[in-house]
Amino acid sequence: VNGPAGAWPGRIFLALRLLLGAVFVLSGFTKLLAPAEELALTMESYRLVPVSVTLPAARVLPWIELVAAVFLIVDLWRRAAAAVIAAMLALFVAALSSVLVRGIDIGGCGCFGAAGPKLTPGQALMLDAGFLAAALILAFKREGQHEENHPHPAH
Amino acid sequence: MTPTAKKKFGAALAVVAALAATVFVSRENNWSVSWRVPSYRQMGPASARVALVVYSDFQCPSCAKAQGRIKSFMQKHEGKLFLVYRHFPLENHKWSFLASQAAEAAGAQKKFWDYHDLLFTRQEEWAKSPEAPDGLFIKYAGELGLEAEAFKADFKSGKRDELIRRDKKEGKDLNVSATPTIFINQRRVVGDQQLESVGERYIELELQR
Repeated sequence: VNGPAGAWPGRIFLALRLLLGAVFVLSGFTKLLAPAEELALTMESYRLVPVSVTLPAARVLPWIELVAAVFLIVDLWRRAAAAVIAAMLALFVAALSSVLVRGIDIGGCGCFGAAGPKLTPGQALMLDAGFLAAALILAFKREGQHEENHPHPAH
Repeated sequence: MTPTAKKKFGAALAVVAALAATVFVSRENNWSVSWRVPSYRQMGPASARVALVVYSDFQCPSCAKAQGRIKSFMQKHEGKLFLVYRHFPLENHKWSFLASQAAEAAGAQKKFWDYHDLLFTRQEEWAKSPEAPDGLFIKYAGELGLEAEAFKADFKSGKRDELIRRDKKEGKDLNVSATPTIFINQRRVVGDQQLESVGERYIELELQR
């Protein structure tokens, strides 16, 4: 598994970890730089949950994103960190799909707070779906699993 | 925990702590709500225990809803609240800066709040206008009995544009990016839904302090 035959999946895992980790560090950090009430306002525009939920969620969510992302980057409790990120992404995908289906104009998705890149709900949905797939791989697949199950014969 | 895991844990904590420190420092530097506006944009006693500083945009529908709630707070807690209006015209609202200019011209004749109410009540009429609604703004001034020539001269003179720009700049310094943003003393509320949900509670809490 540690030899050349297992190197690719390891690299893929590393790339996915760093990519997802970097995206979520950026997402959590930019949200934290803006007031929580503004993130709550963005959440309210989705018309899914009341203010009694959005305000506490806006205070907690960016910290969860940040901590899970850092653990993913340093590769500590990777499965748990990836599972937390996957759960958040599943929520985002559901929320974005819901506004698209209902035709609600929310302007930007609010994914990176006020300071980060501005994405439309459609763009955010595509990205989040891809990130969700990556997070699920990191959470549920074993690194080098493919080579363990189907070892390449040595020639 | 293995030594490697301990090292990783230490690294993770260090990174999170560094980012958290940056966040707290950035928030600390941006936290001082100013009441520095002309007296015609103030309402209630300046010595009141609770100040409501409202960053608002005359063309924003959520601001129109919020001003109704603010009015009811002022009536309910008469004499206990100090209200300050600060302009925050958003770029995507075509006529908002013009509306602020008109409200300032009305303020020069001590009718800022009446004009403010009228702009919000008639928002749909002027906000949808394809051309600059100068005529409507002058008509509103007439309805309120403002001196027409003085209003016209003041309105487009640009004399008070700097006040509007200063409000917006100071709002941005406070990380305001959406309207309405209301500061109830040091507590921030963004949007009319949050105001409806937590506004009264924040006022009560501040009055009890």
